[in-house]
Amino acid sequence: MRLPQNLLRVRRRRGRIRPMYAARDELPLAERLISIYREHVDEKRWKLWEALEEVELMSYDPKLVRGLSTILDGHCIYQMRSLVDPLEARRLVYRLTRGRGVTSEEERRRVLEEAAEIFGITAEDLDESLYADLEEEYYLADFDPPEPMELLREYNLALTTTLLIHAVEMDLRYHGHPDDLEWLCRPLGECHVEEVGGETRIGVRLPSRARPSSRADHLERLIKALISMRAWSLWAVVHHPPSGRTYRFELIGGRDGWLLPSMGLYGGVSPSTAI
Amino acid sequence: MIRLRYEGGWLLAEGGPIPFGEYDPALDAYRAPGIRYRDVVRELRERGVEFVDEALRPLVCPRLSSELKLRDYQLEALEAWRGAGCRGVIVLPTGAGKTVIALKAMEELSVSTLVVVPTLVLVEQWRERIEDAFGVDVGVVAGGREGVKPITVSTYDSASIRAGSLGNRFELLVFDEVHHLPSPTYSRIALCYLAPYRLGLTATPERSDGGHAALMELVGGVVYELGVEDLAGVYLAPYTIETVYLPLTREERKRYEEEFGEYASFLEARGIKIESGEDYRRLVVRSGRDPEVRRALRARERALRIAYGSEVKLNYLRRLMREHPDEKMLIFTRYNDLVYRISREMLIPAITHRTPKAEREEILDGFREGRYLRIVTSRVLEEGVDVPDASIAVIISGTGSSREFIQRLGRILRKRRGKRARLIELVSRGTAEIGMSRRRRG
Repeated sequence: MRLPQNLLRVRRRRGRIRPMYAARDELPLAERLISIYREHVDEKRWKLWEALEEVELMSYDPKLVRGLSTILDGHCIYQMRSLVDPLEARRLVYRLTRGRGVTSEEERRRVLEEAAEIFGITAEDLDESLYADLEEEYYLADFDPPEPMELLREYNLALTTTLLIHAVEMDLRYHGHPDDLEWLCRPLGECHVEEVGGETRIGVRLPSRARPSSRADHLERLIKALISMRAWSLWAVVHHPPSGRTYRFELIGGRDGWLLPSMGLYGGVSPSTAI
Repeated sequence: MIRLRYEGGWLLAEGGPIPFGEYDPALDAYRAPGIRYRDVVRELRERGVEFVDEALRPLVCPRLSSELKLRDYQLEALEAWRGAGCRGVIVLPTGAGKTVIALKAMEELSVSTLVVVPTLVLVEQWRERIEDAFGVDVGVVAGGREGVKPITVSTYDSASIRAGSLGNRFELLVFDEVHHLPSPTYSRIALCYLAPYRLGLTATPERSDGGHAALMELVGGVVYELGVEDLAGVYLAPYTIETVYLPLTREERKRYEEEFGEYASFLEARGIKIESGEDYRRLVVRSGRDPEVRRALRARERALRIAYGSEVKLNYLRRLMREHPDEKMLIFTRYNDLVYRISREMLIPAITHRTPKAEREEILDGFREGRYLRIVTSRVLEEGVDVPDASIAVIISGTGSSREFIQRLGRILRKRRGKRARLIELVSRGTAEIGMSRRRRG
């Protein structure tokens, strides 16, 4: 999971950059958002959006609210609910008005009833179908709620991935064998691997032109795997497009690990399944 | 000796009676409405009454000169206005160059002038035109701005509110879209201001409430009038542009005032002035950190939504559809939610940036081939969208669209069966202040 760049929240100071990770004091917000999603199962998506907007109007950072709901959307299944194909429904009603539209409520009802009869459904259902294919008209069909702290950790992981999309150089260290992570670094760029007394060091030089979406996938996999290692750390040089400047970023397992999801070895991916 | 003063929209006379004046015991003075100033002074002079005029204190206007050339009918119009004592209304179709006549009138008189217009968009347009023509700085009194100069442009709202302090500073009043003037609030401008010279401009002098009779009294009667037929094919573009100002329903008005009031009082409480798009952009940036700014902007957005999606406009659109059942009509608004609402309520094919390409092509083909006679869309003018021609385009805007935008839309119009194509813009009346900070396309 990564976030749109405009939802990336960072602090920059003395040549260093760090995402504004969500910590324990954001737990009430996480709980609140989770319960909003829960309450909107079987509701249309625009209703959920309205409820989220209410939260944004309170004293929370709107970028944080939107970032967290982006993560929560990943725990949702949205579904179009319509008895007939909306496009077909639209085509038919336009045809029935002879392309002239309708100018009164009675006229509209007549057209809808006629169309509904052709489809064999009720006029109300047909009315509902007309734009059921719009995103906001989709239903939140299923929601698998994360624990509040897990939500924050997933969000922090997404922040890290989003920040590292603009990494120029990365240096990873961990206790373990080069084979553990090297294969995950290769797709990102040119690698330099070193083994010093049980610690593996991998340097990656990332080419400036790469598709952000595929890079995000590779990065996410790598970070998930890295944080499941022992004694890990990550050091990077990151480009910050809004300022046009370059910053140093570091993440150390012993210090920052609790902010990120706890993963099994390889964070759910293994060499054999991921290649 | 009689001393004339100006106070709170009234012409006051101390030391003796004046024509048209009524004695006000509270002030111990005679008073007459500002509009009577010219008659009062004229009468006093004719009767040989001695008086001191401290009422009219016009700003000093430099000698104006421009390169502007008038067409024959524009010269005739100006001549007719001059012949009526520099008072009166000129009626010309949209696109016939009313502004240029007003500029020429300003140049000839070279006196302090207040130009009064309905919307903030027009404020900007007039300011530009005047500055281009004469190379002078133009003052603006509108949307919270307060810059009075010998040549000043103002909205009807602001000119009316500021009548007490501005009413004696100008000798010439130019009313653009003068058919707005006869409303109770706006007629105050004509009644209170002393300005002896008055020019009204409009394409449509009639008001449904019969207020056009009042124009005679407020500005002077119609001194020159030409219809579209008189000019068609000679001077005008191949389409007409009509701007229709529509009120909100009572309920909408109430909600609008509430929402917009919330935004406005927030700005006031914080001492924030929105005078340019830049100011507004800064406010939006601040909203990221400041929940109160967010709430204020949200209120403004809701107010705007009421204004652009007014039921009165949709009913007007329905009427146009009924009146032109067989003509191709393109309905344009840049608000996607309104596009879908119109599509759903009126069963008209919709195109927005979210419409899949295949469906978009299908709709445009249908329109081209005449299977669909209406399209409602938010994106006709974007590149890569080849829109078939229509004979009527309806723009539903919040508070008025830019001239350039309208002209671009105008290019897709074609005339049918000898009739000129029509471009009709529907604007909500009395919601102009909101347009100020809205960045316009174009």
